[in-house]
Amino acid sequence: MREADFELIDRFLQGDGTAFDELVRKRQREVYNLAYRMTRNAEDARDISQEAFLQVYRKLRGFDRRSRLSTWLYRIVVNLCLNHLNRSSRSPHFLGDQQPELADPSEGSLGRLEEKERQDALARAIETLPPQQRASLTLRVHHHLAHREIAEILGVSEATAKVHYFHAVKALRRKLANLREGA
Amino acid sequence: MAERIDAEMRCEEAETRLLELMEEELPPGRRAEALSHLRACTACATEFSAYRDLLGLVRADSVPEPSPRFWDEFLPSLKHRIEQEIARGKQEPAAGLAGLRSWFALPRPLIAGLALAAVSILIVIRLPGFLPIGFDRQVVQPSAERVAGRGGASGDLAVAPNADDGRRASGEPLVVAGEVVEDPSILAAAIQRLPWVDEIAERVEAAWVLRPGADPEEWIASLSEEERQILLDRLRGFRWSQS
Repeated sequence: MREADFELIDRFLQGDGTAFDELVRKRQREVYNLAYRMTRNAEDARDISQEAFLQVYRKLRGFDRRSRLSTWLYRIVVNLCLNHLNRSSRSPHFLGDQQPELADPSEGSLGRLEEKERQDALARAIETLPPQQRASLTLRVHHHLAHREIAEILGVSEATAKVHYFHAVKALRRKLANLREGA
Repeated sequence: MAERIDAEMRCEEAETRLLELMEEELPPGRRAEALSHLRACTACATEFSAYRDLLGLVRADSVPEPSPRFWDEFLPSLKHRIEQEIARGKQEPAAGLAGLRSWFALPRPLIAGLALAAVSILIVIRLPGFLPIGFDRQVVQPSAERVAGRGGASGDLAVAPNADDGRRASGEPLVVAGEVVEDPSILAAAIQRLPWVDEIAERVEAAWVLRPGADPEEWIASLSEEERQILLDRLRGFRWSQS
């Protein structure tokens, strides 16, 4: 994968514009998915995805290849998402209409919630996470990155990246446990 | 009491390891200890199971699939934004625009030749307000033959006036690194050997590729005043030996 990516970059730098098309097509879904999971908003995810590839286009020549292309790309996406979340000073899209805490004991235990309800509850819980924790969780669980790579993306130490991830999981556990206990 | 405290401590310690255990990040010895504790402690085993279920739930958290049209339009829309950015002149100097060429389905050798010519023409023809070619215009009185170079274009080059550039006198020959320019491509070559200005040349080239029939002023519309001035200054101080 790494070699294939570098080959695409070489082709692009040699003037083969179809290489950039290939790169976009190859990576667009994972970029969009990452942006969506960070913002929880389709429109924001689309804008961020486009902006990310625009930055790739601008900066690809300066990519030093010390990391994988995907790591570099994710870093761009995550930074855009963090900036977006900081700018909007609200965590995700539908938080304005929702209570960040999940606990509605009348809904019953986690085990008895319908699938959609559980996923909605989880989504809301994720949206209450600080952005860096959310990024760590997403990159780890959905993009299967090592903590070392996540650290590189977030610009923190590996230990800090792990802490973000563990805090995220524990926070979700607490929030979902509220439901269970309230049953 | 002491036994209970010890037991709690063990559980606390195990709890801190649960996620690392799940992540398979524990060294073998500690992993064995943690597993041993889970076999003996129902509470911690339940907690471990809850974490595992939770991560399963997180993994199942899917992203709503956008419509097929969304993906059909994604790349064209991106390209449009890139073109718009070039046109607006907001692109960063580090832009890698080489890849833009083949979007226009032109053979690379042709593109390269045309681009070189475009940059050369851009610099040597009359561009009021732009690229006042003032580099190294020392007192050099070349022969008519040398100034004429290969043909008409070079002849234009030598006499091209630029009303906006006070440093350049009408009819004065152009000199790069002490040599009278006989071929416009020399100017482009000089520009391309300037590390920072190379990016500017590339942007101008890309703009020309996008709008080959446009006025040359449009080709360099993406350059800011500062960039034009930097280009001018760098060319003025250019020496071939530096490249």
